[in-house]
Amino acid sequence: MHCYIVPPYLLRRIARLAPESLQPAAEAARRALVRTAGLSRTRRAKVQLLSAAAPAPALPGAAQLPGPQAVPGPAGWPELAPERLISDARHTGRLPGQRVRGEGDPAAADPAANEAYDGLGSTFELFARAYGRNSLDDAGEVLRATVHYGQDYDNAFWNGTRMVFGDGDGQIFRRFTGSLSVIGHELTHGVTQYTANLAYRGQPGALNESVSDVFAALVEQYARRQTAAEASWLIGAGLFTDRVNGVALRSLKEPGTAYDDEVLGKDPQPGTMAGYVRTADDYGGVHVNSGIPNRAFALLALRLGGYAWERAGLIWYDALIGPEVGAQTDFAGFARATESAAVKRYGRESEEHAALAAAWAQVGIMD
Amino acid sequence: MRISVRRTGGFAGLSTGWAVEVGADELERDWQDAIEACPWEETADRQDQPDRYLYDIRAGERRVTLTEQQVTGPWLSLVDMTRRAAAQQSG
Repeated sequence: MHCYIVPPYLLRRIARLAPESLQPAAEAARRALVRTAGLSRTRRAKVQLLSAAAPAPALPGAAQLPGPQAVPGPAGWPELAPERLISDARHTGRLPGQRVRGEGDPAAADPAANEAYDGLGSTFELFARAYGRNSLDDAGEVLRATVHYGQDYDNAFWNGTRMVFGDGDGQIFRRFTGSLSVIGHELTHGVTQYTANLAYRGQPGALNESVSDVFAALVEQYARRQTAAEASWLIGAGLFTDRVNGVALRSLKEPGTAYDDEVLGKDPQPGTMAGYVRTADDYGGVHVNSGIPNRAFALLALRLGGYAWERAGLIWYDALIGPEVGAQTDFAGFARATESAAVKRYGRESEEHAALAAAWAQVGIMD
Repeated sequence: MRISVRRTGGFAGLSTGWAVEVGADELERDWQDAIEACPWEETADRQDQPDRYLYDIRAGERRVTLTEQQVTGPWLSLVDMTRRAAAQQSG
């Protein structure tokens, strides 16, 4: 057990100190705050620290990418480490299945198990390094996944405690662990469950879906160190077999353009409120109408430039974990929450606030 | 009687469905027991799980919407019967 004599409010002050001479103290304070988070956790305290969080380190051997200037400071939250557990349903519908790989185990013979393991790690990395979040519950929860669920199962889902992947039918879909954005999407449902807990129906459900798509895109971009301009903004790229005329399941940047196929039809996602779909299907069209807030995020990120997980991602994350977003929040309510987050973090006259307002207006949600 | 299953949702958000038209003799011989075995009037609280399928099942005037997790036992039998019969009718 760790005991700390420096009170958290003082640690937070130290952690925000920017002068170079004080960086070691700031870093130590951040680490101490992570360790004490479980003792006296407040979401607001964590958010305050994030403004000092550093961008991702460059990939080994990679050239320095363009983007915003790095905030001086340590790599984000190096103390945080994932605990992963991969199981195999062996083509049945029984969960959790048989354990095939745990944290630190060598690679398994099964590529799906390794893809799941690596994808869980990449998702943990984004939330930990960019936002200081310690797993789904911010308290180090084990990341659990089951692969090879069902037979020819064309789906992946989050069941409240674990993510579950089908192998696809081989005709339309390849295995779902093959796309990092699928893994990021499902795990983000876990983060949402522990924070805003958006209901899975209607506009709150579409927001729930959108939040998963947004952070799934950021998981991929963070892993590849891509700027907003370099990113594909696609969800599920590589899932379709060559028989399907489509690049992915969804596009945040251009909703409605991910596929156009004889069998599957055309990607039905709208990019503005004018195209909002009212339906009883799919819990009220949650996978369709999510295109609207998805596009708002992509517009914001592209307008700001640089790494999308930094300013745009922080605004979305602040809103998700903040007090204004709850189970029944609709699109307009979420937009207002992001506006509050942007004003609080960057100021009312900031570039970020202006870009955010323009993005929501462009999709028809705010004037 | 028209018997149909419509499946929506899932991670991909794609819709699919199967439907058959059955005459009175076929209904009584092959379908009646399977339809009556389903608890159409029971509306148990359901737990919505992200990216799960949603099923809209109809048999004549009867209709129910179920989550993927609820499609077990007699419901699963009826869905599978409908899917197989629809494939035979179209094939």
